[in-house]
Amino acid sequence: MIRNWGLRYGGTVVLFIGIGFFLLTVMRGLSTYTSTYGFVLPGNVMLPITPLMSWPPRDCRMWLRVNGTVDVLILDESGHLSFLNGEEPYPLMEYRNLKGNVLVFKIPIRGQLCLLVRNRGEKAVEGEVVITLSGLESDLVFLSLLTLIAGVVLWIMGYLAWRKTVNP
Amino acid sequence: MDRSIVELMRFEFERFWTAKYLGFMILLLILFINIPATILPGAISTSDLMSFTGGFRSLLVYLFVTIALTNSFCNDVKQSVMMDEFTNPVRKSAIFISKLLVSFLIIILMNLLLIAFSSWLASGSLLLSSILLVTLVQTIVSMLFAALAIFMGIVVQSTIASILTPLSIYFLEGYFMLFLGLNYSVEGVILHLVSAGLDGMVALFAAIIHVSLPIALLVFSFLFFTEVLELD
Repeated sequence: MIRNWGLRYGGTVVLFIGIGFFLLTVMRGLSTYTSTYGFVLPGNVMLPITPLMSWPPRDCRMWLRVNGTVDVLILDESGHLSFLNGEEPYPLMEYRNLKGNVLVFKIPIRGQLCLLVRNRGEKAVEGEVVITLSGLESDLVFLSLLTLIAGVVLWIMGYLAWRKTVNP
Repeated sequence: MDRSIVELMRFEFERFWTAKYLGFMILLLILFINIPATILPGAISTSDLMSFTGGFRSLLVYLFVTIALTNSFCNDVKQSVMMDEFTNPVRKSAIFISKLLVSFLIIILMNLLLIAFSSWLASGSLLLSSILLVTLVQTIVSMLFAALAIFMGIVVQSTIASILTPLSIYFLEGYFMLFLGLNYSVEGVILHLVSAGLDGMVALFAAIIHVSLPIALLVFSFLFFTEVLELD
């Protein structure tokens, strides 16, 4: 009896949590965020143009304006640490030979990420990057769907078990 | 554990911490997690985590906790006084302790899970020491409001008083901090108290108000409930 009751109780609570996650996902997904970073890069130099920041896994539109050719690298925390230690970083994403393009990509994971620009030419380059984040956060979507499904399944299991005890 | 105590706890959940009430409370608390929708600079510190889960969200937690405890203790006692007996076949001390256990278990678990979720949402990782510290602080701050609600519920047996008194204390404390010209919230002071030890009059005052007073109120309420109220 306690098990049936527990399943229905847990199912209802988890279902409400799922609805909460879903509403939070939609609320956070409705807002867009834009930030601009300028850079001046001497020849054969790689520099981070953003600090190590927490990024949500959303659609990212990056507009690059530069008076030369650069590579853009996106590093996670360990990649950033490698870069700080003077090692060649292993980027999550790398775009080479960009001359002022619009890049559209999905940020792969939630966590601390950093944007690097590399100038492989001899001449100094100058430019700016405009980053716009939009859309739903993929991990929150997954979490809300998972909790909603878990809530429904638990509640139905509890209901069926209760029906069984009432009408054996 | 004694089966009647387990049944009593279940009864407590069914009557006062119903699944819909608890679920709706958590839903609202999730919606009020105050994390900027986009990028945050650097690593998330404990005080950042505290600010994401504080403010209006804290007030909601205290309000929900106070209402549930008022229903649990005050209305139950009022009903029992009217009927001149308790319908539960267990000792009064067991009733008090099981009610208290259920309530505090829910408060601590809810705070822990929501703070862990906030930490993950803000930084993509679970900062264990920060999560535990913030949960401890939130629980200590909740304790005063919970103890006041229980005390008013049992001793005064007034629903309105046991909801309004903790709320007035909450706003008075905020006003007092403003009056002292401090930039801290009450949670900030308790965090300082927990992480850095006693330092200054405000921390000492917070320790007395939020740790000693709730314990004293709970002990008094327990004795009043078991020794003075003539129920059974």
